[in-house]
Amino acid sequence: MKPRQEWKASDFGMPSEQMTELDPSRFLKLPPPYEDWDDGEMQSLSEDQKGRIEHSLDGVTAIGIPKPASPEEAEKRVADFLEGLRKLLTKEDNWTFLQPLLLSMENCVKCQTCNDACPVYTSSGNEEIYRPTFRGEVLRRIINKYLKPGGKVMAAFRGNDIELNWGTLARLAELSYRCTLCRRCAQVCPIGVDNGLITREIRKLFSQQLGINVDELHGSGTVKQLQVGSSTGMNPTALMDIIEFAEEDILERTGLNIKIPIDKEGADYLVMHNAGEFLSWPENLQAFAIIFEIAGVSWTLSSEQVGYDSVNYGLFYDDFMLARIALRQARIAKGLKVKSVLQGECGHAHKAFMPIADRVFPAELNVPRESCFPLLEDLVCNEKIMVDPSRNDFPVTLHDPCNITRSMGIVEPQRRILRKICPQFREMTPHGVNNYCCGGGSGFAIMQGSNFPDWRNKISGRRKFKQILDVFQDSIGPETRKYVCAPCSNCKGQFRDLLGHFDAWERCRILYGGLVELIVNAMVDVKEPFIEWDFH
Amino acid sequence: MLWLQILVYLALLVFGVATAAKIWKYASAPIHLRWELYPVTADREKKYGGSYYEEMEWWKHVPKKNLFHELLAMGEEILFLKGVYENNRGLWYASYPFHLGLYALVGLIGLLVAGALAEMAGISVAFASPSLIGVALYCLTMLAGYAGLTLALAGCVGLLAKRLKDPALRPMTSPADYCNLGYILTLLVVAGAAWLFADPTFSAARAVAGSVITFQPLPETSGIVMLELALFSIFLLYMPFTRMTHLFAKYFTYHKVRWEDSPNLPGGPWEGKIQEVLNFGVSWQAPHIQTGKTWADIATEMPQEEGS
Ligand code: SF4
Ligand code: SF4
Repeated sequence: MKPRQEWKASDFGMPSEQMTELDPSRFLKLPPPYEDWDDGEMQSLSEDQKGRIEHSLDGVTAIGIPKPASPEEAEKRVADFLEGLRKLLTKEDNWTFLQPLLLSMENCVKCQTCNDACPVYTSSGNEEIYRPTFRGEVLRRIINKYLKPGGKVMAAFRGNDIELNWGTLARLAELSYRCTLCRRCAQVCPIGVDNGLITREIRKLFSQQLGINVDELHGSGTVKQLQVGSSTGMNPTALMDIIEFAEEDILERTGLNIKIPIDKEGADYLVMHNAGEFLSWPENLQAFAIIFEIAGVSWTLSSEQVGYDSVNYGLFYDDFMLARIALRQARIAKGLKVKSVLQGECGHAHKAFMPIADRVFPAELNVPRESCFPLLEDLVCNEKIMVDPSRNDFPVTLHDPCNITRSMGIVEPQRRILRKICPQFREMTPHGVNNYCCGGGSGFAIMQGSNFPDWRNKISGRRKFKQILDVFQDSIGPETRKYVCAPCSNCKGQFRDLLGHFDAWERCRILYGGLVELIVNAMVDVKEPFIEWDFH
Repeated sequence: MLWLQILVYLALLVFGVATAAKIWKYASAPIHLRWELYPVTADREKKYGGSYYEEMEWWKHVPKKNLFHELLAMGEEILFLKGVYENNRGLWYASYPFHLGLYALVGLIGLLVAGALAEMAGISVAFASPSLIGVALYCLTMLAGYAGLTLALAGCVGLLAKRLKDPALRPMTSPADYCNLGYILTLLVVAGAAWLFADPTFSAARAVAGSVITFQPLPETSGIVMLELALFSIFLLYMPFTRMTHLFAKYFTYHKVRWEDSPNLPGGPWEGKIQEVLNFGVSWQAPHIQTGKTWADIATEMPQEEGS
């Protein structure tokens, strides 16, 4: 195996059992009390898995691509890939992103300004293949050599001598799942090149042409959502049970007798939550209900399949699945005759349903869509609900979901709320539109297969974990309870794993949770503390 | 010298057509899904990166595009390479003089053409010219030429050194990158030699510019000036086919992607455009896509293999 710093895009097609061996001793160092944290070895695949599954990039597998049964099958997949690549560059097949893709593919000046902005690259100890520019460079060389006239002749001169074979493709597909699509690299690029976009286009090409995608995102994700109603498998009957339980739980915890409105036609807001809130963090769903009922907001949930789950994993890998889900959700909102659809605390759902889907809606389905944060700000800051900040007198910091801040510009409403209700609120560095991803972006948070979670916890979430430790250094010990406000369901999923992996509850008493839980915790109408300080 | 004259016109033609074609390729691409990155510079009040999505009923608060603010931000980028300065200072020390030098040299071409036109109008372009315009053109030409050359040369050497030595840059630099920079360096060195030893006041260069714009045979001049012209022509010939076109592309990456920020409001201009792209035929072949149908059909149907 070559020393990692010598890997070049041209090596990508060379036969090799595994391009790089991740070395935990090079990973980003963590502050106290983790100076001596032992990351151990990277979790490796079993011999059986190695025999069946492609792992020749870094020994990690996100997709679990089966090895081709025969050389003929491998060749066919390569031909299919090239066919797909052509489609990616045509306006009919890829009107959705052709212009930004061409701009990014053709104008990178290789200044590498983007490298230091990337949490994955820097957390890994500058692992060469994780450079933001690496996968774009591989794709660019394939295009130049295999799609452009005279490409093969020019390849050696241009330094484009990449070999396109099944190994190249398997690595490229995996590499497209070593980037969280956080777009931090794009933000610092002086040309405006977007390596996050290139990554998504690579995922898309594999999904839309070869049917290669991550099961948690596709088969058990978007497809299941369209068929059953939610990627969690929650069907409308289960939803009703969960709602009933939530009402009972609210009564038990707060003494408030709240009826959660379902399918109320003509309500001001159709509230859409990530289904994760129903199953893993019901306190979030309950907190929304408490706030809205006490403030007298006109709202409803939908009990129709897909209408009660704001998730849209199509955003991460496939334009058609993205559009299918967004159109279903819009149709449901239309049917309920609500004034607008309100996105709950879920970053990717915000982005998928608001700006991104904006241009797949025909006129009749272009329903108004809003974020919950301005409304919550209005309720809290204009004192439509009364709060007692002393109830939240513990250190609190805010995690900015990339999709809400960098991609949508919703930065201040959530902060204004926290400044009002949390006396010990403090900002991470950097924050707002310059935030670091939680490490679970682009679907990573729900990808639990094989040894991928180990990679996610040790590498893609590491920068965020460091930020959290840094911001709480004044009270890092377990004697002080601390709260990471993560107003995004997927980010919470990642924090559950990340903080769990580092044992941060036991060692530092760091809890994570949503924004509305903090609001209800401070509400004078709710007599008992709402936040339960147990890690789950 | 006919060959050189042909080369010059060929270079100008190819440069013009290829550049226009590239700009057209970007400009004529269909609409794309929104892909902004905040801060969107037009909204200077929210420098922290806030958008209209921070408002309740945001559709009532979409600010008008402020072209002045956008141009201001682009100006900062182009004139000072602000992004590189802020995020990659080490590179900026080489990249900035290089770019500034190139801007000056582009300015030099304009000044040579202006000087040639002035001479045709009977104005002497010289330090001792009786005409103020002549003096100004002479001085500006000298300034643009020598300052541009010095800055571009220093920057070019700096960039080459960086690419050769910097561990962040070296692995991602291909032979073609070195060739491009090497070629520019050669061109600059030859241009410098031509000016210093054969054409210190740019009178020969001005005469060449005059003959090119009037389609007259090139004037007899020294071999090194001819070499400079030939090298420059070859540079023009291949430049549009490299990523040096980032100069033009930047307009699109910023204005049409990062800062586009134009929501699809009911009754607005996007509705028609969206309808058009939704009617595009699709040939993707994965099992969940019903290839051969239109985008709109596929987006409203269940995935095929699992469909109901
Ligand atoms: S993506 Fe941008 S910042 Fe990164 S190397 Fe290319 S031009 Fe430079
Ligand atoms: S999008 Fe984020 S994770 Fe991906 S390369 Fe860029 S900075 Fe790294």
